[in-house]
Amino acid sequence: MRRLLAAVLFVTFASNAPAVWAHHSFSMFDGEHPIEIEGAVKEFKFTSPHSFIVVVVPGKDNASEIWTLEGVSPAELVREGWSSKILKPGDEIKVKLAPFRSGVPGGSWRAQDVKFKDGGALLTH
Amino acid sequence: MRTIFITLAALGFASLTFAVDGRADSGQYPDWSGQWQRPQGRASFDPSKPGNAQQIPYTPEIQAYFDKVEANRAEGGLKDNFSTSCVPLGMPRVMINYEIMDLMITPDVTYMWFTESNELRRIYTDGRAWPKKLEPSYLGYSIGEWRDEGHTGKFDTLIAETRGFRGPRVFDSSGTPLDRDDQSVFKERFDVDKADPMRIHHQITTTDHALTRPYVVDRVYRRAKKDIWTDTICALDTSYLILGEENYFISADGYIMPAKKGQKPPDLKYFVNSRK
Repeated sequence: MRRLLAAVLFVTFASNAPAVWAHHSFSMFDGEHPIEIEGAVKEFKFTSPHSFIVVVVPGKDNASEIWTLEGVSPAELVREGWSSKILKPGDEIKVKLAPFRSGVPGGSWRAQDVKFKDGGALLTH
Repeated sequence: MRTIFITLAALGFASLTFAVDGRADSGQYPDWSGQWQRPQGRASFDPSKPGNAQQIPYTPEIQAYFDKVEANRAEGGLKDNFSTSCVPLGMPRVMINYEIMDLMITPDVTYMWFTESNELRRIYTDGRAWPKKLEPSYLGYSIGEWRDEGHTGKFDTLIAETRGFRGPRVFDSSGTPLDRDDQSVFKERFDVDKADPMRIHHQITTTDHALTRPYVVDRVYRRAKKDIWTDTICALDTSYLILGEENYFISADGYIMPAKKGQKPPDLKYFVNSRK
């Protein structure tokens, strides 16, 4: 059983749902029940049509779980002040995300919902 | 694709320089060159309405079909979102302009290159007639005309009509269908905002057998504040697996994940040693 490092956030869909109407449709993600995870970046894929952050989330007994997090396109991230170098392997981050409806370890995120673990914003405007 | 586009650009600029065949000279055309983006967050086909409330005037039969598509989406499905399998967006969805639309205007052709799906649209403005036979394509065949509606001596408006499609095509990622007979006709108007040259207005009118009447949508593109170059290799970077009517997700560590709650795994009957 996966272990989330933060509690489920009961907040509204309108203020927290990631981009639902995108290239692929984000229908497999549950934007109405966002959660927050913390972990270390394994890989940041600045790829089109959608970007990905792969995060290693620590669990019980030194076990860890790999979370696959899908974001918006690089062009949209650039508009948010991001670049392909904004995250590097080992960065400790926390991400508020819309989890998979199926319950598997992953979800979708928006640029403003990714922060360094110490609370620092990634935005580089 | 980028190499092709650069070649086309070179040819286009050459024709701008040497257009001396009696048509309008290059100085009459607007400078819309460069990259254009949709306003942020407006990724539905009609940007004035939420993605799940597009109010497309569907026939009862098509609306009933779309109701099934929406029910599939509510479960986490991706029914009829064909681009998930790297199928071209085609018309009219490509005009959502998910990432960047690069425009280049020549007297004979206006080129629109969409980086997100690597699709190159050509609107012929050389006065040609419709071909007797159109080879069906996702983007269709476009014929246009430049107009000087402001009577300034320079063109300010591009009118276009597009026919000759193959499918399947949809309006946007929610799976909003067009008729599978692919007889769509699109009439478009592009003109720059009089008060803000950084904005292009785009009106697109869809006539299709899925609709009870012509469907008119107004869109806006803004000139990109800085150039954005990203490779788009859909087949390489997609994390979606579509098998028949089912969609799955491929995890970063290489496993098939269910996209829906309680979804069964795909049938592995050809894998002799598959786990029970």
